[in-house]
Amino acid sequence: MNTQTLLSRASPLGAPLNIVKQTFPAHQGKPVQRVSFVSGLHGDEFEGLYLCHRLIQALRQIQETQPEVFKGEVHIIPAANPPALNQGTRLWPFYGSDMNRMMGPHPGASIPVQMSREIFNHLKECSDLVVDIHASNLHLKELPQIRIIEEFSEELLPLALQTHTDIVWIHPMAGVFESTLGYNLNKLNIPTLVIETGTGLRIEPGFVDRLFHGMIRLLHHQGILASLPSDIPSAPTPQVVYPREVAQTSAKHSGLFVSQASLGQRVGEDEIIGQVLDPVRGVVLEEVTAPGNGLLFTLREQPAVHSGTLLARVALDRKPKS
Amino acid sequence: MKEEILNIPTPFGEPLILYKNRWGPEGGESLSIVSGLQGDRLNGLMVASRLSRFLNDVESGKETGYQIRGTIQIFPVVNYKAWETGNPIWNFDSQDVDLTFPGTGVGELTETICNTVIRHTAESDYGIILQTGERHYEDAPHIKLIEPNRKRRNFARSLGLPIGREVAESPSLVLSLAKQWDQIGLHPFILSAGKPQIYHPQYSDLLLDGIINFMRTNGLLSHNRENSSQREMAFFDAHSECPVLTRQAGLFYPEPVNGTVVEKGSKLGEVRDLYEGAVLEEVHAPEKGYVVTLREHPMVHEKELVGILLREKNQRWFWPFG
Repeated sequence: MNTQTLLSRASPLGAPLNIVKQTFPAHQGKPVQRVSFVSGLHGDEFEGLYLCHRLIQALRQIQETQPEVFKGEVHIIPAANPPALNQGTRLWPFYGSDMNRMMGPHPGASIPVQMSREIFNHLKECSDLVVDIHASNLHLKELPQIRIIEEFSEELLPLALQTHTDIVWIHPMAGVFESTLGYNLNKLNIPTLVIETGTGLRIEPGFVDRLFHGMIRLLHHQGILASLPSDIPSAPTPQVVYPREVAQTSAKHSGLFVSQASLGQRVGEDEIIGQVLDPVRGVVLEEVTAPGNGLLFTLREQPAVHSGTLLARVALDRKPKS
Repeated sequence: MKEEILNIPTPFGEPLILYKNRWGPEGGESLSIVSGLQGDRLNGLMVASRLSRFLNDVESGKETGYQIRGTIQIFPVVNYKAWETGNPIWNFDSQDVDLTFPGTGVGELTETICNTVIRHTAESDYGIILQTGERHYEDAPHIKLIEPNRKRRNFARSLGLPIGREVAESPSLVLSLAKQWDQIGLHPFILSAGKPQIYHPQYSDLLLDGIINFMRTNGLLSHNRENSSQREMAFFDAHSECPVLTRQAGLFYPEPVNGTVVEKGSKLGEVRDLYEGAVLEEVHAPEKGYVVTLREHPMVHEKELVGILLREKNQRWFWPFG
């Protein structure tokens, strides 16, 4: 494993600002493919850091015991936004900048803009495939899933299926994606899978276990690892959902949301999954019901809600074709 | 006249109410003025308030000679929750309002607020956004223009600020209010002066005078004796921008050059060591140009942006008789 300081800036206080990359080169000759993993673009998302830790640990062990297995090259940038990760904030703290809204051609020259630009350019140069790992925000909890913008689904879906996440969600394009790492790399024909899992500022070890197994399977499928480690269990194929196959429910009232459901459970249409309460007056404002039959893959974690706040998403069961 | 445009119950307290002020007859030219997109941009808030008082006085006959001819709307506060904290963004969702347009009719609070502003301004001919420099920077008073064709530059000239500057296209621009206005047919103008957290009375006077002149020039306001004045403006396209970066990390001491033209090699400031005070570096202008932005916060990293020059070779003058 080669440790490289990818980017560095001297700081006025003393300790420099460094972004570190770990590289596992091919054992011999030209790599069959180069895969990069990046996490921590948002400083309140730690699931990806844990996943990177698991990958580095496992790949290092493989390299030490069976170096010939490495046919391709793996790059891992576990902590892409160290100032924000150290503060536990989504945004780059000194500037309030979102690194994942500055990718692609972005004007300006602030330190976060420079860092985003350099990470983007580096990934562009050293990757044939990228996995960008995110947790959800502080408000929602997500089953492990890969999100794919519709226009890239033909190329990305076969790759996503190898990862054995619970859900692969193919969704429409929206303006908010235009400045993200995933969208801009995919536009440059560098296939990029975007993972969403868990919730902000927390780690769900079970979710990361599944993702870890999925990422090792992906490396094997791409020929980067010549053999699959024996301790990687088999897993069911992800449920693939298209735009009309995701139903969501939002709060109709402002208040305190108390869930009565569990993430990952199967729900029936109109089944009660929680309540919105008025804790000041002690009344139930609303019974929250599932918007359809299927798998509950997004659930509100932060209880304070305004009317309109997203509470749950369900991956709808497909109706049998008649 | 103060009108409620959004009323949303909050989970545990009084409702969140957004207002606009509106004057004048319908059917003629129409102008929307928005301030308070971020919760720390004081100049815009103060200008909006002063302008509202002026227009109320015109309406009630206290400002003799003036008459309101078109429809004028002012939206003093957009990111209400951020204003409650004095931060640029609402910490609850870490969302920059000016990266959330056009929002959605029913959705998260910030999205709903953005959508409300879009709906209430969509029919206007012109839109003015009151801004300051970014966090840690001070802007010399200037106008930012999107898609600055000749017609727009002529409109901008009547705003009375000495400098016009093209906003570079970028993927995230599409989420800004100005770009959304541009896409639905308004002429958007961003007036930037000063810095966050600080009220600058002279800049406030300048902006107020410029907006009143704009209204008179473009048929929104008339005066029975005095004519509006056409003013000169130097315009710089997006290629004119010359960022100035430090070489060393330390404390930046700026020279009083903001809003002036500096020669190539002129001193813009110096970087001193935080712990020992020694001068590490003198920062010089790499080219002749107008200093439109200068660093305010002294702590700087290596390669930190401390100023933006507008290169004179890309300048075009717009004279009153042009």
